[in-house]
Amino acid sequence: MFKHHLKISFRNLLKNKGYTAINSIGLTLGIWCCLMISLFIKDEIGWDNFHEGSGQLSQVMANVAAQNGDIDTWDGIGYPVGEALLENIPEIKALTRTAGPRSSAFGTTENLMDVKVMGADPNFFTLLSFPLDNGATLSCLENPKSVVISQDLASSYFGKANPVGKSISITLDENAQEYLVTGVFQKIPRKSTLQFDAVVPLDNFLPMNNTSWGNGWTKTYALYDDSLTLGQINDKIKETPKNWGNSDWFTLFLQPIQDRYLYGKFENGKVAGGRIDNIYLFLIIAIVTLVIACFNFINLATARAVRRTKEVGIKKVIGAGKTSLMFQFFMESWILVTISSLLALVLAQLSIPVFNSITSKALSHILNEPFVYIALLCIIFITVLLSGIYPAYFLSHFKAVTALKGVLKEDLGQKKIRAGLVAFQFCLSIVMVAGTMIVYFQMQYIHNKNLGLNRENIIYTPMDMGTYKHAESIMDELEQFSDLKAISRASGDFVHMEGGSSDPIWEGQNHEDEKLWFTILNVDFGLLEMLDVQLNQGRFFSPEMATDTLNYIVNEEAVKAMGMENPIGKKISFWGDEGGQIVGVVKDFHFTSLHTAIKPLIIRCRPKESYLFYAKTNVGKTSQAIAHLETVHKKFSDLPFSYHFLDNTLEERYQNEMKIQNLSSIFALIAIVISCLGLFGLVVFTINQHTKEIAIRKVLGANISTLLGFLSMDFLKIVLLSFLIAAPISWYFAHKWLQGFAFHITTGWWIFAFAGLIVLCIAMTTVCLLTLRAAVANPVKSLRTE
Amino acid sequence: MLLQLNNIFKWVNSGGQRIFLLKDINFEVKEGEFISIMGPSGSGKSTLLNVIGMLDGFDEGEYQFLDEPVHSIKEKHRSNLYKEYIGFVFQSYHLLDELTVKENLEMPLLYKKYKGAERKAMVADMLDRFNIVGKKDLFPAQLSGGQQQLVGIARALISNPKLILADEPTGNLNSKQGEEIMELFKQLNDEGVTIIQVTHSEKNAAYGSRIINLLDGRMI
Repeated sequence: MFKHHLKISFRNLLKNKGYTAINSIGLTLGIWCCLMISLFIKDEIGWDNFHEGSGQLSQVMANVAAQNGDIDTWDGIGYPVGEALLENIPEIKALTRTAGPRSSAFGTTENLMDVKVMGADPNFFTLLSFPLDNGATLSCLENPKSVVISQDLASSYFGKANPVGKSISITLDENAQEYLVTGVFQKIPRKSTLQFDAVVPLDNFLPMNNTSWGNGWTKTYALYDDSLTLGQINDKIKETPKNWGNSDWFTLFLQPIQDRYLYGKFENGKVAGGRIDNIYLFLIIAIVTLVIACFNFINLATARAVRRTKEVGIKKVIGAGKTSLMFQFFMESWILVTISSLLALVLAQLSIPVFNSITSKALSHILNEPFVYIALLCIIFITVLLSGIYPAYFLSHFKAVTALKGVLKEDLGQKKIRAGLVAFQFCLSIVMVAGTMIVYFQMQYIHNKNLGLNRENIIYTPMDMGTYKHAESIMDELEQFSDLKAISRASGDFVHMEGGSSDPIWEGQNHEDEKLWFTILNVDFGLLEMLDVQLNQGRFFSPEMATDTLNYIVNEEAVKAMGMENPIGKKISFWGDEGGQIVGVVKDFHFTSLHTAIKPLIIRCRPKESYLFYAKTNVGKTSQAIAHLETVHKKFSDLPFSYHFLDNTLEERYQNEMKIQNLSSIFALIAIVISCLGLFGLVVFTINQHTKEIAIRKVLGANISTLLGFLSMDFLKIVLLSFLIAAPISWYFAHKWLQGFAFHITTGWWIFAFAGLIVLCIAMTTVCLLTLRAAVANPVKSLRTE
Repeated sequence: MLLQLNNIFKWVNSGGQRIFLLKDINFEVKEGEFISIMGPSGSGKSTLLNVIGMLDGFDEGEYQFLDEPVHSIKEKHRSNLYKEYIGFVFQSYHLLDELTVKENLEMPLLYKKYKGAERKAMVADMLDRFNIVGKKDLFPAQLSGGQQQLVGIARALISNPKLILADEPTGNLNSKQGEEIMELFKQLNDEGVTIIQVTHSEKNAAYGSRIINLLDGRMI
């Protein structure tokens, strides 16, 4: 019986090639979407859960009170905070602090490499599960000049020899220092947010102000007692800064280490999503595309049922029961879904490179992964259930006699169900198109927004120990080169502005304890001018003013936050610098992403503490300029030369949004394609049903345009209905997404209207092409068959 | 006694009026009979045949089939009854287009859950008996009308029914093919199969042992 069903199903599918093609294309696309998205999600979950005790292992986070009542959340914690926690909170069982990782010159003179070196407390390898190679002891970071290196580093420097006990030179700041290799750690799992090549004791990273609670340069990990819940331990540590650090402007909380990757976004001190939002978004998209494909199948199968009534009738007369008929139709769905799944699998493997480039993942041979097959089986199961049950039930329940008479009058309910399903499909399509358009316009807006600084033709290159030591001579040499319009130095790249502090004290501060979080940027003379930053009051730094290396320029936001009436000449002091004053106020410019509002900024003129060279090239001379930069670099350094374009760096901070834009346009396209396939099938069916009616109308004198109107009116109604439902839904989601940007476009009604119009046009083209063919056909032919 | 109909009425309600399709039908059929039902279009011939075949219900009256009261037994039981004892032959053959001749013949046996070897033997037997062994792997579309009807009859006979119901079996055939089919029916009847046929043609009706005439749903 099974074999027999299989045979009939195959012959049926082969006989109706168009139907099979439409259905399997739709299903293949739907299943492919699901498969790719499950791969994406699988790669996004399970980060950092390899640590032992990962239930209680957490990162210490700080909620910092910002001006205007907001709370900012930082993962950088002051150096003394860890010690205070260990001393005063007995429920914190263990704690370790890290700094960096920082790119450092590493190795011997003949084999110098740029590696990521991290600073850590001695118990780092005890608390976090980065296993050490045999022979190494857990006390490997006790000696202040010890280093633990990765297996890769070990083999590239020492080959097969045991590296323990060998010495190696590392340049963390200005000077190279000798470190003793005391251990080798095994390969770090890919799904670890901490990635580093070597670890040295934390003290080597010690900056000058390590007693301040207000600097955030260490990341602190803590293991708390498992008798407490996360909420309880958070209550205990919350006021630590106030109780033991005399700092009431920030509070602490713990976030489980395995949550850090997915939940990295905070609003008002509470977790507000992060990467998890993408997971939900794509999960919804996967379900939506699959549902659209399944609806297609249901629609086409039930619409075609009329043609299969004869078969059902005969089978019933010669002895088939309902169950056996249902089983047969179910089998057909199953075969179609299976074929589509195999196609989807092939398509998935082929599309891996594109997928990788869009999502910045590194998947390769998915066909070897058991997960893919498990996911595929689940998808097949769900799809068969979703798409098979209703048609099977519907088809097997005809009465034998009516079925044999051939012409089965469709009841109104049936028609309504189908119209409903099509409306639903188009609803989802319109939402997806509108969503894609919103994302696109927002990205355009970001791209074209005046950031308050000129990013064109700016190259920056990070210093290494060689170029840092000879920075002045390099500046002199670059000065000579005619293709460079200007050169300067700065400490930040205008995306990752590290070096914030709440230490600054300013003239006119209401009381001693008042704290504000400032972003601190170090620059050389000329940098602000090079970037066309606009001056509001006062002046830029000038080499002619000897005291300018003590002075400050602030932005408007900082003036507002400090509550200054006449900022010029007011004194600011922090980090041991006394006697500096504000010499200029610049107009607010964006120095982080547009997700956040502009924050108070203090710009110091500290050429010695600016680790990036900036150069503005003449238009069209970029490659010569880069070549020259490299030549100069090689003169002073043995390390490889690297450079970045400022505008690229600025774009990169919207990578996540670009990803969403690319993916959502792909998915929207697929949704429309599948929906149109469904509509196509449905139109064919409707026209088949109306062939006789069309012929009679033509004989009676109807012309083609009235026929077109009469045939497409029903579909027009469906698409319009779905537009009415889709518009508010898409508005809601667009609004939600745009809330994530401090600066965003306003969503005009025309975006939704336009999205609806696009879908309507595509749908009506399908309808019109098909109806036209039916309308111009010779009426005699269709009448004769009756 | 194979079957007996007593005071069978069947009607539909249309526009507040009751239109009778069958009115007070009474007759009985003994095993081995060959009955022809005749009458003009719309007289209720096919409806009567469907009622006898239990494909369609009726609104009033009693119907005994092999001493089972068809009018009072459950739907499921009723369909088992006709599946076991009745074979159908249609005017437009109603073969399954996507199955070969052999597979069409095998179909009813599959539903009756015969074993594979048994099925093979029965199909081979039937192909042989109807002299269509050479056509066993052809699809219905590759056969002439007469040949298709031959397969249709073979399919109706394969599970040894007690009664064959034929609705204008020669309606779509030319006169020569029609004659051959009627000869076949005659021969089957001689072998003991009970047959009820609906027909328009006096000539075909003459093959039967008894003629029932219908007009506007009433026997005359």
